[in-house]
Amino acid sequence: MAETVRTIVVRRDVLADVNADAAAERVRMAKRGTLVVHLVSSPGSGKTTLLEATARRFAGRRRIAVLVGDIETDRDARRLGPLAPTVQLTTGGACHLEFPLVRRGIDALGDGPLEYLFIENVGNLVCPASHDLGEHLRVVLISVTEGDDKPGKYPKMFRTSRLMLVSKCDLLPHVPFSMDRVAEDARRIQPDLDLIAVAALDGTGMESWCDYLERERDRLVGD
Amino acid sequence: MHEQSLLRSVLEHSDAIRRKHHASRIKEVRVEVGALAGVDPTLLASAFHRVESGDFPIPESLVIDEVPLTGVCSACDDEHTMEDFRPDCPACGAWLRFVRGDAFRLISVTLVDARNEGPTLSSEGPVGREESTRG
Repeated sequence: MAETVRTIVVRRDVLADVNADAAAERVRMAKRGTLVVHLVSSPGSGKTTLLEATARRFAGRRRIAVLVGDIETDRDARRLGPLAPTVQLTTGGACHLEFPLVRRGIDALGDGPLEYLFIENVGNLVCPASHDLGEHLRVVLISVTEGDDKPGKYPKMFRTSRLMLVSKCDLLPHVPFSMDRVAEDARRIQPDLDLIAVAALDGTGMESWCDYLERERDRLVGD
Repeated sequence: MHEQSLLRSVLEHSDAIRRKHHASRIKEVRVEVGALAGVDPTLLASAFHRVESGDFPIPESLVIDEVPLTGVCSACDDEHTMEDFRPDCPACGAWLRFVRGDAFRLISVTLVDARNEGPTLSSEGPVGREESTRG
């Protein structure tokens, strides 16, 4: 018996198959008229509070739904459930969402008309950056209490995002956080990054944020 | 950390290639990890050393090529490694356009075929196949 050794050249992204599924979903959601917005941040930067405030602003005007990812518990879904159709995605230990789980959440929401689908990822500035969830818009939140040095420390997350929301900006007078420094640090990595400062609890910047979403939806989905 | 699930994707894909080419086993899997791929090469390697044979056989070795973040200067066209995300060209100071270093790719799969030269089929076990695969 003889043996032969041969090398098959592949040169293919490891996540190519799941990324293709996510891209197909992106097209499908655009056809439904739904802008898919993926929110990422470290734990406790205010993703859920932002979504509560966003749901209140859009109430009666825009139909929104939320897929909320957490490692454990349905606490976020219980907060958001009274404001918008919400599906809790529990990763059971995994530190980020992946598209197949998001797909199950989309199926659970059904096919009703929807202007916005928000996907709130697990709080983590590292792993979620590598996974396409089929979103049209990736938004990274950074709260002023986290420090303005975060973009350079988590470059991939900022590189793959299109909008940076600086949250809890009502606390700016109390913390050593510079809007200029964070903008400069982030744009060194992603020169086209947009920036809006918000404070979901007192409403600062919420109008700019919702206008931004409306413009993105017009541009990406059409109306 | 997600290196374990990424490794599983690599191994599943490699084994699909092995089956497609009717090879008996995999000698080597080569992957490329960009500096900005969001994959830690050390964790990937340790996940490989810990992986247990389950649905399919485990390759003999995993080779990890680390690719630095690389940009091309918008003015002088020189290619530079972007250390620490420095966006300016070390030669002329103009803006560096990112070109490479954010991918996690399966590069190649090296297969071993055991060819039976007589009419007998697959009656031999894996013993004796080990020797000729190196080099």
